Amino acid sequence: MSMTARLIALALSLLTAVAVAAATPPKGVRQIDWQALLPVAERGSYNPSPPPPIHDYLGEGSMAALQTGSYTPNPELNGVRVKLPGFVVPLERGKNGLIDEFFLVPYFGACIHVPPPPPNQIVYVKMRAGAGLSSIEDAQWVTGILHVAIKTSELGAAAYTLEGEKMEPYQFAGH
Amino acid sequence: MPILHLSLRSLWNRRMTASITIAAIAVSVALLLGVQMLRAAAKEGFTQTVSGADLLVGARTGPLNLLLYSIFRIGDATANVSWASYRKIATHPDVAWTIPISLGDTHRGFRVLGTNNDYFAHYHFAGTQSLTFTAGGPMRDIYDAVLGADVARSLHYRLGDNITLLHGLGAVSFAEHKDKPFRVVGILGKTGTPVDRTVHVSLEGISAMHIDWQSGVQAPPALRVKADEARKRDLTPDSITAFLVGMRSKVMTFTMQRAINEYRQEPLLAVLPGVARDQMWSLVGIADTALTVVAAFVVLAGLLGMLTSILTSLNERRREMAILRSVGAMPRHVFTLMLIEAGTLAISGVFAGVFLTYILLVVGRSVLADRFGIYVPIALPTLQEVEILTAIVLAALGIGLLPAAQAYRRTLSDGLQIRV
Repeated sequence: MSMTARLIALALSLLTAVAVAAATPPKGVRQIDWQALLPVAERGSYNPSPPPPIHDYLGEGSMAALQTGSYTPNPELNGVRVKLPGFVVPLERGKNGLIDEFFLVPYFGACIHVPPPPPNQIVYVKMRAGAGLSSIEDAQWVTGILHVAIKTSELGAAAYTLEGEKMEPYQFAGH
Repeated sequence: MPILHLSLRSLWNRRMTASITIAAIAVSVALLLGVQMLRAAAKEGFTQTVSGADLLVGARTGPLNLLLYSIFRIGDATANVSWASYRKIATHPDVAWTIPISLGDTHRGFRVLGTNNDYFAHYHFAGTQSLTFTAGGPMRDIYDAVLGADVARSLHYRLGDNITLLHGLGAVSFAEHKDKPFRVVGILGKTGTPVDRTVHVSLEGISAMHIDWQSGVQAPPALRVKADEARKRDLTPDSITAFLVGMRSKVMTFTMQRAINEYRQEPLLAVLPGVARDQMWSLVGIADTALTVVAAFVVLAGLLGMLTSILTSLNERRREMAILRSVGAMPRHVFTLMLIEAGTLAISGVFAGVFLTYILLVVGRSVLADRFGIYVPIALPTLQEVEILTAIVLAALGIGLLPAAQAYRRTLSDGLQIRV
């Protein structure tokens, strides 16, 4: 290997190291994406066709309930401090209009335009202290301790609840 | 210290102009502070009005419209929800509770809301606060009514009083439900939400009132159904205006919402109250920002008025400056003098403005609550408000630099020689 090539390789590896360092969250916080919330067995089963509407949920006797996804959460994430990007669906605002409780979902419009995310793709967040949120249309990073309700078949609790510690606007990786 | 004393004495000498300048600043500060307090109160009212409910369901309309007419009682419904659809959703296994809401009548300007006692158990506001009774309790009879705090207070009602409800939404109307009076059995505690301005009756009561109404008018006297006869009839309502839903599991909220929005038997709309509320606030926020900008400009105008009055006074005060110089005042003393003057005017103006705001608040708050449903608390200024007030004083000092610099320059030579 020539000297120049070596230098380039060194520079590249240094750059990568810097880039990785910039992207890694602080110690003790695991940065995850929405795939990580699915149990390992379900990750490969991506169905590209849009899920049909869920007509029979109210028992109209038309189509069978065909909602995609499942309730099964990923138990490995229980008690882990995570950092997850998502969109905020506000539920409660406390004093001074700060947001206390919300659903974190993988895409905006989870509420209206497209079929709802399955229960294991919704995180119910309760902030320890209210957080400021100016627009519900902007993505946010949310950091906190994730709790997984293992026994979800009875719909007793939300599959994922997060004790929210911090919420900050999402920034593109390139910035 | 002598400079401060001198400055204040000098201002006192010109107390007429000074007090008008202070008044101008005070009025502008009161406007800005008033707008700030109003918007904070309005926002608080918006965000605290309903909580704990996962979905709000009504006839298909817009999310904001549904929220406005069913929760804020502003405007009216375009269509109702059939009783059958309501029961179907209310009895769904994933649904924990529902609160039916039936609107359309009034009592002396206060809206009448038909519901059941689940309302008192499950309606929450301001986070986790639930409704409380200051007197009496929930409804037990068809013709029982529970009053919101403001209704009882402004109409001086007590338990056991009989009230007549009006058909429609006007405060005065000839279309009365006189033949079926309601008895006050409960009075709710103050909530600071539209609940305070609502008369609550049972859904059956609403049905009974309208049992002999056809095509918008009551049947002729001979065909009317007496209050006690109505009890024997089937009083299950045909429809309700809207209802709130609490889910057993919050993660099913989206699924239920989608199912309701795509329900084939009836066009319905389900919204997450929090989302609709935020959308509404972002809409109202535009007017709110505009108002704040206007108020800020009024403050600027007030400060410019101060600048004008100080600058014009400079000419009249050349003698004063000359005398000060002749007794040994340095130009920097004159500079400080002018700056103290601007500061004094601004600080007095700000204090007078705060005072004025509180006076207006004490006088106007019941009108605001009664007419517009905005509850402005009388509290100490918030940190943000204190920051704004400090900024005004600093801005005044900044503006005060101009006459101070001018006086500084002039006093070096001016005033001692007599010009013709």
